[in-house]
Amino acid sequence: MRNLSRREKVVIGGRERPSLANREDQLERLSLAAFWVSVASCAFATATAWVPLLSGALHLPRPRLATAPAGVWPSSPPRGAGTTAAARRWSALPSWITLGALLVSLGARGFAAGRPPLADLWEFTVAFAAAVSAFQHFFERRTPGTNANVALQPLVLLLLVAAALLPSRIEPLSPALRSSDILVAHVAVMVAAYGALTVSFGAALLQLLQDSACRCSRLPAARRFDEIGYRAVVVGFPLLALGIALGAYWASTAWGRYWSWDPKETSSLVTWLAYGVYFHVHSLRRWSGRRSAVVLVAAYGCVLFSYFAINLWVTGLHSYAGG
Amino acid sequence: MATMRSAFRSPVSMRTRFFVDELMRVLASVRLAAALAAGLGLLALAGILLPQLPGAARSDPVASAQWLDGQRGALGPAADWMYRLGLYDVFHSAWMAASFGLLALSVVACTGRRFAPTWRNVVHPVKAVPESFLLSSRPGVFRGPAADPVALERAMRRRHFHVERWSANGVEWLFADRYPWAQLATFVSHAAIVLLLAGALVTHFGAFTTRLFVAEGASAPVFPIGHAPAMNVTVASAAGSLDAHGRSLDARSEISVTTNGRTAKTCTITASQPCTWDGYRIRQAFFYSAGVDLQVRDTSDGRILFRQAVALTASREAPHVVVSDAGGRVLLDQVVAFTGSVDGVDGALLAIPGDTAPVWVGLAHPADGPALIVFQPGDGSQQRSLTVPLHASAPAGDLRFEFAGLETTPAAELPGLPAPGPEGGIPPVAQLAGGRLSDGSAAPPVLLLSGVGNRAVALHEGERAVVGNLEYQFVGQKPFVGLEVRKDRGEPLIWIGSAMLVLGLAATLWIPRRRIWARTDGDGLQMAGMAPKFADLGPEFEALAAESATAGPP
Ligand code: HEM
Repeated sequence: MRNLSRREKVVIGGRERPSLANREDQLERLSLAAFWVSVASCAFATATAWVPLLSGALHLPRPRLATAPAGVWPSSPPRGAGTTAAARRWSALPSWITLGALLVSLGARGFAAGRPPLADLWEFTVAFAAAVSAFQHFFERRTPGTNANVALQPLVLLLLVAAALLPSRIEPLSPALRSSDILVAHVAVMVAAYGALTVSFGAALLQLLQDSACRCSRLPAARRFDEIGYRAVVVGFPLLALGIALGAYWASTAWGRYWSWDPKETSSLVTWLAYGVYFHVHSLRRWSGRRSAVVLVAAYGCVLFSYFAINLWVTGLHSYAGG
Repeated sequence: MATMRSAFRSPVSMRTRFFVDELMRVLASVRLAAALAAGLGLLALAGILLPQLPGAARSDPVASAQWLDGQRGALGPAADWMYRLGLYDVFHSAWMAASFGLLALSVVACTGRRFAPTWRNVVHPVKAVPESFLLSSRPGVFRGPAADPVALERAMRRRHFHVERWSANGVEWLFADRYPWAQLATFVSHAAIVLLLAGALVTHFGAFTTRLFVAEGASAPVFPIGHAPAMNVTVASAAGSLDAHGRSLDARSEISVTTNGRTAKTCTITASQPCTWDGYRIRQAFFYSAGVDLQVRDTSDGRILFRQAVALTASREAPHVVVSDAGGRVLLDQVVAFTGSVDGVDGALLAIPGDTAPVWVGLAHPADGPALIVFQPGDGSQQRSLTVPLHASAPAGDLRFEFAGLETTPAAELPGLPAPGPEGGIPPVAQLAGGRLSDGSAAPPVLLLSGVGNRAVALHEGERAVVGNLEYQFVGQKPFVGLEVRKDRGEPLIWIGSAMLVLGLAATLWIPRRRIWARTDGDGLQMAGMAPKFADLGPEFEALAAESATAGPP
């Protein structure tokens, strides 16, 4: 059977029917429409997360919460919890819409392209934003009351803006990238790992903010963000290790070598080592807290470096993955 | 006795012992681990950001000196320092090797120090804690209403705890442990790092790699002649497509592996689908459509002297020359293969139909672009000499020479190709020219053979030409594939190490291990526990207390 090329039309019984190509076009358009819905809802979620905080919420240092009395669980809620709870409720709906729209966008894109939607930088970036959004909800459930979306919604929004600036047309893949389940698994796991690590970055930013002189009284204390940051790395670090191992396995079949010190794989290793540093310093009493948060921010710099800088500026065996 | 001996230990051995202990302590410290990981990360980052010596130049002093000259242009004398410090070859530098070595040592030292106590903690945990441990009012101790110890035990077991219960002095004690073995997983993940480094070492020193260029229908030996066992790879068929830049877009080959003359394996390989046999992985590195099936026969006795599918892996420039007469009639339209060099200019003698004297055509590369040099020897008005830039034409007498294009043709030197005349001249070269016809369609391929006589021989597919007593035949064009045959004994270590690393990390970080001590009597229930960092035991204690409270949940 002849493969229909995209844009061909099928004429059946003298009447033009929507062809396979038309359906693909429609799906591609649906994917883009869902993407823009996600941008709008994410912008709204960011505003709803931030407005209550900014409305007179930045206070000068206030006394730390007294240690919870022995045997009382959970510890008493932070001051201003009422306001943040309201903000959370308000931003929860648009942030769920963001996640839903991103999943629709990726799903439609996958059907339009006839392959998993993890093959170009636009797709990675949208999947990355979806992963951050999904992990934000996951960690909000596991560590309730932290309001980490204050940092995470803007990060999702930034990723979506970055995706909006990237070429979004579906292009044919190079043979090495085609039909490799390992490669799809590698990319999916890396994106998931980056999603979790973005949560840790957002938490580290809030931890540093709460540890500084101008703490926000409507956000929980720094230690809560230390906790989310750590938990997110606990999820992301093994995923990152798995992602790198899958990448090495794929490289060994496609390039003949499991490791070539290609800039992309090297920067993934650097990223992984940076989180290894975080685990170790977090276990040192003098380094836990603020300094660990600084390490987390630096480690996330490595994520961004290997994600954007390498794909866009540094050439290497991975450069075909760029734009 | 042992104490006696240690009491009389010499100061030197005590100092050595102290030194070794100190060294082990430093090597096993979490601080050093963090510093090593950070140092390795920074080194690798330098390797990404700084220009690195290309792989091919590393073993070639001339090439690396030339490369370094280029860097001097950008950085001046600092480039020499960078070079000496190994910063231009970070991944093969002594720094990198030393850091990896130290990392392995450190992991070994820290495993050595941590393993025994952790093992004891897993296998022989402290089950009975002093009363004060649970009765104190320190944070972390849960206090609830009196509980039914049997119900509490049942509730713990439901949560996959291994529980031991006993009573003493009217108090019921419980010790519950869940997934204690997960504590050992940290050794698995750390040992994996050593295994991965060992795998990398084995790869570095022991991997076998060879590249073969095999035309469709041909085979090539993997090892030099005389190696036992012999191993050959035959390409039964090769198909693929190339993009405008000659890069292979898609390619698939049917290959077979033979050892000692017997077919051992047949497979289909693509860019991402290698064929594995006896630990050797055969991978299609590239597909190339330019290969030629060439035959040479001795016309005196009919013997076939040469029959081979030749892979044209190199390339040569070949000018496309069009010669027309005064009336505009095209006399010659040909891609020219060079047969020799005059004053450093490569060129060839061309016979122009109708024109008596042959013309020498060469290619020069002046600063303003390639130019065709045309020279017709002779005397007086017979002698012509002109320079024609690319895509231009110029008259010479009643002929007009046009430099229609410059092709880069696939080519190969064929030192083994029989040639008439004495040996020692330039080695024969085969070139495959294509080009375009005037209607824009692709011209049929032309095989240009130089070095087999005074003039180049141009053959279309199926054509023959006789030079001296040799007949050259271009039997047909053949695609060929570049195969990489590799056996890397380090790889199994890498995959085992990777699996250990991922599983070890997942088990350490994701398995919800818990250890709970509980006491209950008429006055109430007290529980305290141990769990990985940030695990919130509060809700778990509350649920356990609610499920076992004698008076029902409060
Ligand atoms: C690239 C190298 C390394 C990586 C990626 C790494 C990773 C990790 C991770 C993820 C943890 C936390 C989970 C666990 O307890 O297993 C950890 C803990 C630990 N690592 Fe490493 N490690 C590395 C090298 C080392 C070295 C060289 C040592 C030896 C000094 C070491 C000693 C330790 C110790 C003692 C802990 C437990 C810290 C604690 O008290 O929580 N690690 N490591």
